[in-house]
Amino acid sequence: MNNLFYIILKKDLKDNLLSNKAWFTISFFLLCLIIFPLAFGSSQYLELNVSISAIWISTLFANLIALDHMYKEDYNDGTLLYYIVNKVPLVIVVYAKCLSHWLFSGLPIILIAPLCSYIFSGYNENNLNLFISLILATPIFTLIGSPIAALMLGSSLRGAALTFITLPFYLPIIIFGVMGTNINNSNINAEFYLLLAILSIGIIFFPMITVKILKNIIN
Amino acid sequence: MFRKLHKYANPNKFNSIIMPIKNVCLYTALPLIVIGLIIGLFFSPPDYQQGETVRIMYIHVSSAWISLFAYVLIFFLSVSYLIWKFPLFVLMAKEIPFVAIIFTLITLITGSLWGKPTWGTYWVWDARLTSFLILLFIYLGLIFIDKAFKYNVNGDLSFSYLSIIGAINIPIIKFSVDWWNTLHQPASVIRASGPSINIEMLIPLMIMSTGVLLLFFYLIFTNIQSAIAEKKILFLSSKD
Repeated sequence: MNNLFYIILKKDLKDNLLSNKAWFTISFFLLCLIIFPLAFGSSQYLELNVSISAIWISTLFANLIALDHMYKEDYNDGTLLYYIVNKVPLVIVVYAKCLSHWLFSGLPIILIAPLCSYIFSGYNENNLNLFISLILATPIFTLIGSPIAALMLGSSLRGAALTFITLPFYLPIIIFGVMGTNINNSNINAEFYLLLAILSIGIIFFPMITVKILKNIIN
Repeated sequence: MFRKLHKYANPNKFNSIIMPIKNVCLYTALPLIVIGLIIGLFFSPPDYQQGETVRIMYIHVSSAWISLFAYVLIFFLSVSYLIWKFPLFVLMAKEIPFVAIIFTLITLITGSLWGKPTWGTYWVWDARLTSFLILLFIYLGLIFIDKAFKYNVNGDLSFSYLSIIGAINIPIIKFSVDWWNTLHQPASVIRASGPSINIEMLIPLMIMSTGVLLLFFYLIFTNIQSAIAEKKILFLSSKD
């Protein structure tokens, strides 16, 4: 079982690396982030709140951009059908897909974001909070996105519709994430606990739904 | 018991029984709404804090209940479709968002008009208001996902699963006033210890919401009839 997981994960990572889509996500994040200082039209530092919201918005859209090709290529070239025919447990496939999606659209952003926040605003007090809330929130983005990406397989509308349908489900995570980032000198990190609770429910719940959906749609 | 209901899963049979029900709904809904509005606007007492503006409640609360009820209906119809695979269930569920989105908009607009005199602002990013706005966007998403699958049979499945995922929002809307400190007032009618609202205000509210519920059913049944007719035409034209 573990062996199978590593094989599928390795295949996904290799596909992502070779097809340049992995780099597209992180470069989209940086490009989206550059828009904010330019749109404010000044050469000064952004305010701290603005730089944090810029980072959250760019994270959201980078995740959404990467979501579109989470299952699409494997569905189109028949790999998912091959998995089902050969009785590979779909749970393993879904978890491997989620992990590879997070490794390319979550992890680089988590590492870069505190640096970007410092460069944009000149402050570094909230960086630890930003780091922790991004660590908790980006896996939730991936997990919520995975059933919806599976739903849109075989539809005639592509990226735009997927973005529109997924965004409302991301809003609560954004709200709690930004609230968690803006905590000032308090020891009650309620938002982090809430995000952690959502993550620990979601890590069971959303892959389970995704498996159901993939089974139904492919048969 | 359910065996007896099975024959109504045939769209033609269903069509024949909803025809009279539809008319009954319309002709009881209109008088109820008129009576409820008259009692609410002229004969009910003003609130001791909010004054005359409380009369917006009779429209705001009843349409809010309908827009939540509509989602619960979509949820149960989708679950039934996924379990029993009767296509009629999803056909019905797909027609509900078009009607429900209008009630959601009415709720948001009347709510913001009510907010201006009482809170001093049209909109705040409060838990209840934000979760209700998310409900609006989930309805829009349901409409979009229905239209996205023109050449594929997976549309029904996708619609049902999306509505099940979106159902997480419904308890959040209901309990948001209890879980967070919101500007929106807490529930005063549907709560564990009985309604705390004055009986003179409760009566027109109940009349209004029954009327709006029947109107909602009338609109849905009309939509379902036209959807069944549309399916028939599509089927006939694809035969040639």
